[in-house]
Amino acid sequence: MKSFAPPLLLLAAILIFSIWNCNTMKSDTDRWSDQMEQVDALAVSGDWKLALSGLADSYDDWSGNQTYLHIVAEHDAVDSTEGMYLRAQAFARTEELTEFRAEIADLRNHLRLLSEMERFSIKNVL
Amino acid sequence: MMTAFSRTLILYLLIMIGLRLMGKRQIGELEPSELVLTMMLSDLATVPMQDFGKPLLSGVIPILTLLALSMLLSQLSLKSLRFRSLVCGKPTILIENGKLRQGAMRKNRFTIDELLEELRGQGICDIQSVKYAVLENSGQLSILPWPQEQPPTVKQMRMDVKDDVELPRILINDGRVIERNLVDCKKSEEWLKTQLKKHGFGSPGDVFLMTLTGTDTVNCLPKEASK
Repeated sequence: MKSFAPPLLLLAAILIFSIWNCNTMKSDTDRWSDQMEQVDALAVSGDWKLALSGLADSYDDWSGNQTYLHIVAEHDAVDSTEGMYLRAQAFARTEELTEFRAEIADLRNHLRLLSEMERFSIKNVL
Repeated sequence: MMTAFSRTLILYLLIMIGLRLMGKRQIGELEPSELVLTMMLSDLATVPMQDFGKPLLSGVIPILTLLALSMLLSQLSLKSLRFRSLVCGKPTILIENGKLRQGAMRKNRFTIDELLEELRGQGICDIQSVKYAVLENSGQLSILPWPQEQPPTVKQMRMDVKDDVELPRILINDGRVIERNLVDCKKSEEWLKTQLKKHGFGSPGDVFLMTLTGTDTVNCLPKEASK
């Protein structure tokens, strides 16, 4: 039975890491998406200063996880999300509501896809 | 990660089943599980190596999963004969007592032309001169001719032959003395110097190869001067 231990432990470790990664990715992207929702509401109410500050905080939060994201996710997906954050910040500075809201919606959708890519589902496996 | 992990599990098992269904002929020299591992590993390793946009883990996770699966399958094969025959298959007898087993050939999709080709490769032209031909799990055909079709052995001829098969030990390899072998042969540095002198060498550096057999026969090859 001892001889079965190394492969079974390795498989278990990969499985645990995969499940942990799936949960971490979901909670992180959900948090960023919630932050975007709040920022969007602030922009709609015309409070651009708070919207910009909220967006900057969310971007800092995102940037703090960049290394982890680059390790586990496709680099293209991570880079394009980064680009969307920066574009949304630029629209917030110029207070262009239509473009800002479109960018935020795009960013939220992108975050959802980032989390979905790591989710264990029949759709992903197949 | 979870997707990569589960996809690897599914694909590994799928290819294993596919190869087992394809029969032994397709395998070549490896066993099915080894072939699947070799095929998949070589491809997986190149993906993150060439595409810098993909995380290294996208290659590492499937590789580790495959290695663990392969280790698990080989351990299971060691423990259970039934599992082993399920994964690796069983050798199939294609010729038994000089008679062709056509059913076994059909089952393994082994044509008569291929069988004759294999026999010719071993210098056999007639099926009847083969006692057994076994299609191994690796896809190779082992051919055992009738005793009267084989050259007689010393034992069969009841001859008394002196055992002179000796594995020579290398004492000097390209000018370097292999101290460990010298100790294993219970020879001293002094003995080595005497031997060198006896063969006309000044130092071990002049010798390309010096070997010693169990019957204390020393063979020396001088080192050629580099051009």
